Amino acid sequence: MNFSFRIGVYLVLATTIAMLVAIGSAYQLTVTERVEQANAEAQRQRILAKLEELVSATEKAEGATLSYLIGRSAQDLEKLRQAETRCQVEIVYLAEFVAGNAEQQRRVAALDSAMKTMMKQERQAIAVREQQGAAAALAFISNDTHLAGARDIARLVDEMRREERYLAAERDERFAARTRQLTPFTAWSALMAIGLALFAAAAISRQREERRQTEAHLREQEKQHRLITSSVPAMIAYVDAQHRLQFHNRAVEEMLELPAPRLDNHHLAEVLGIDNYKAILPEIERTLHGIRVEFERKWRGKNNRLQHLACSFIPDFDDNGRVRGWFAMLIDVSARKLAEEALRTSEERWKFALEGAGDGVWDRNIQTSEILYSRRYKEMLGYAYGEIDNLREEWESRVHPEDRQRVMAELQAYLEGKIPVYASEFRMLCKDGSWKWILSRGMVVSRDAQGRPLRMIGTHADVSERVRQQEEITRVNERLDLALQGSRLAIWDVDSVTGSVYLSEGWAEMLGEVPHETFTDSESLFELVHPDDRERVRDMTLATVKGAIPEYHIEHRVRTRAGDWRWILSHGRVVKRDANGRALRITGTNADITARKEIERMKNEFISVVSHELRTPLSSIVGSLGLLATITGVSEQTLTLIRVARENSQRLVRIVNDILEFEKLDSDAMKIALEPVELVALLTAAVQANQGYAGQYGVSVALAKCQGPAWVSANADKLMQVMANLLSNAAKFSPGGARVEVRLARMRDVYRISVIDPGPGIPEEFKPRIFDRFAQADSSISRKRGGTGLGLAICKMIIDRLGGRIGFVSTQGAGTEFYFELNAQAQATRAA
Amino acid sequence: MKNRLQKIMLVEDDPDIQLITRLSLEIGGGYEVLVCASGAEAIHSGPAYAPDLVLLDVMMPGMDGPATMDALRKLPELALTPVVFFTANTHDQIRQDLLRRGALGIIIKPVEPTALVEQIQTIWQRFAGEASH
Repeated sequence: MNFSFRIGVYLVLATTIAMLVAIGSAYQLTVTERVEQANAEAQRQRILAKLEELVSATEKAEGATLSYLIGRSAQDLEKLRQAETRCQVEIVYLAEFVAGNAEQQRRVAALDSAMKTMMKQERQAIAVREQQGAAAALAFISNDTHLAGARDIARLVDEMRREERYLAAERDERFAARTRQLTPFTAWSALMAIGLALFAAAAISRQREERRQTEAHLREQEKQHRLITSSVPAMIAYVDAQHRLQFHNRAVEEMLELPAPRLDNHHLAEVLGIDNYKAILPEIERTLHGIRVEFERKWRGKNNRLQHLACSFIPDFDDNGRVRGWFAMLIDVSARKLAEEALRTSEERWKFALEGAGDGVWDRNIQTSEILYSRRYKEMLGYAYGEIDNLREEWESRVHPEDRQRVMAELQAYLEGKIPVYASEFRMLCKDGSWKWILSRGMVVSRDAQGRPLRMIGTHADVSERVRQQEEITRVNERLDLALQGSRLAIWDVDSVTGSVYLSEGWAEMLGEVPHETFTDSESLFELVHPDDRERVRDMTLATVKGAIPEYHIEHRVRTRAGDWRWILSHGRVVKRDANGRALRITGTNADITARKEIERMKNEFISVVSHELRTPLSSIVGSLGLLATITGVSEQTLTLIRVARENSQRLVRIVNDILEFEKLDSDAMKIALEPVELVALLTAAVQANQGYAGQYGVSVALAKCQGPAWVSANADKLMQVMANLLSNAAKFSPGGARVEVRLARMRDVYRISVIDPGPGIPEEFKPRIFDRFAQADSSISRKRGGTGLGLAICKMIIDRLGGRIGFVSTQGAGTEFYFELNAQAQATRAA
Repeated sequence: MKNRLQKIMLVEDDPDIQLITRLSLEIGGGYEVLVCASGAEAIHSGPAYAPDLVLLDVMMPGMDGPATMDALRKLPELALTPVVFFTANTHDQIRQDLLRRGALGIIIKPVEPTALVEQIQTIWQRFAGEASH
């Protein structure tokens, strides 16, 4: 309808022109000329208004800058930014309005440049303010360079105003001249105009009703469109070829947070902001070239919320195929983008975590056999990131040939769901030709609708060190096993928290079972111990567990499978304790000492037999000689011979006694029973008992004054034996008439018993071997004095067995002190 | 119970030691001595002899010292007669076993004649002292 109305108007105009041409020859004043005149004036007014606004904006910018230089308020900065945006928008308008006037276009370009220079100056002024202070900044804005920008703008604006004024005057002049030329035809014109007006009025009157109806219909349609587009979540807009927004739905208002009046018929640069506008200008240009454009873009709304928009620009063609505008449809895809981003971030995170932990990561597309290898994955094999392609073959070719088949089978089994997890260890070839043990683990992370795996991700960990350690442990274990087999030792390991016990193969062998590693509990193990030994074993074990002794060594019997008893030597100690010192693990060895025990038994038996077989004849000899010595009336010579025989037989008895004593001590057979012994009483008795013997050498023995009671845990008989040895030595080596002194002294935790003689002292070269068996400084003395050379060795053995210490101090020519020390006991308590 | 030691029954298989010991006890101690060459002989002759003390060798063929002591204990005439062992074995363990079985004392061979008499006297005095209480 609108179209036919326009045709009507054109027809009227065409008729008018034809009439005027026909009637008024060269003089014509058409309605078009007047309309053009009016349009040009309106355009001029717009340009002037924009220039006005531009000037205002630059003044605001200057004002904001100045205010900021003084007060440094963030608001002023914001004002400056707004003013700058405003300037840019106005310049875009101006550029559009002056299109077709080259001179004015040049000025707008110059204005744009001057404006930018000025803004740059403002920012520099702010920078000066920040760095050098207000005074410097104020000086800066007062200089010529700074003022030049503003001057240029003022000049250019003035020039443009003048140009527009001039153009308007020229137009007016032209119009007036035409009017003057037409004056003679005014009546004609008026007449014709009236006629035409009547015609047009009739046409218009006819069309008005049609137009009113059409417009009502259009409004209704537009209302419906708006209703539809308003309820659509997408943003829909129509923009004309001049980049002015002609239509928009509510979603656009919401996105831009602008009311409708500030949108429609406004330039996009104004609506979107100059930066946003520039950013999409290429897409707009393409659309205006008739191409449908689709793209995604981030949009930061005024509340600073970041939105992801999927944009479609669809060109709108007129009947001639020219683009007269375009539809813009924008959909907020932020949620989708956010989810994608979250997924990507989370993948990045776990990849980062795995890589950080030293693991390489692989990500396999099962359909395409493409595998993404992470940096660490490649580094693990000695390659730089770019040196390995993302192909499955890259992995396969590096797996050790001996491992390849197995690994492929394991992977296949996992992919087919036959095994629940994929974890495989294999060797991989490094860049330098060496092999690394890799632990590869992975899982399928996505499958298609049929459940077929699509994507699998996994890690590579370098386990070479662990494998090497395992191999080392295996080697050590092999050696240990060999050593244990050779030594017939069994290892045991008790977890004292759970009571479980590990026993090595040797243990089963010892008990006559098929060799195997055994796990049992400590109670069942304890039941194998001989009932007579249990208390001892329990005491020792407890003392070790409590830390009273660092480790224990104990001989005891255990029952074999066959029911007989075997002797074992058990060593044990706590190898792990908790923070409170509680034993967590106790470990040790058991050695089968049954054979040794048998030898000991045989040795004891041998000693018994020898004792008897030697002593029985000796008894007769000693006894006979003893009786002979009592017979009277024999010659002096006979008596001498009897004395020699008697003395030597006595010496023989002593030697035999000492050898047997020594053997007994040495063979461990003799257990010394500990009892509380009071030393003052013991020493008194010892001095008394040996007084007679010492008397034979003309030597006296005396106990120096000492304070009692002095308790030790020892064995009185054995101590008497030690004292007899030491005193007889002292007597034998002292000059006639000498006095041997016995002393008792408390030294911290021990009692020291000394036997001091004023004899010749011990030769230097003899000192190191004085406690050795059969050690005598001078063999003539042993003959003369009747020693056996075993006395001190026996003393040392006894004192060692009692947990004491024996020693001597001797200066040649100044006598000798033999001493032994025993731990002092607080009172007469029997040793547990 | 007599306070004075007079009669000793010596049980000893070795003839030399029989002689030496008998002479030592008779000459040195003035005791009356009956010598038995075996445990069996001691069991046979003991009740009739009724010794004050038995001096008993440990290692003898057939019935050894401890067995002989056990057997003598079963004879009413000798059940309370003190037994002193006479042995060449110096093992502490064996000595302790003998004492635990009821021996009054142990004399280790070889021993000088005078020492033998002294040891017998010491053992007897201790026994007599205990018995008199």
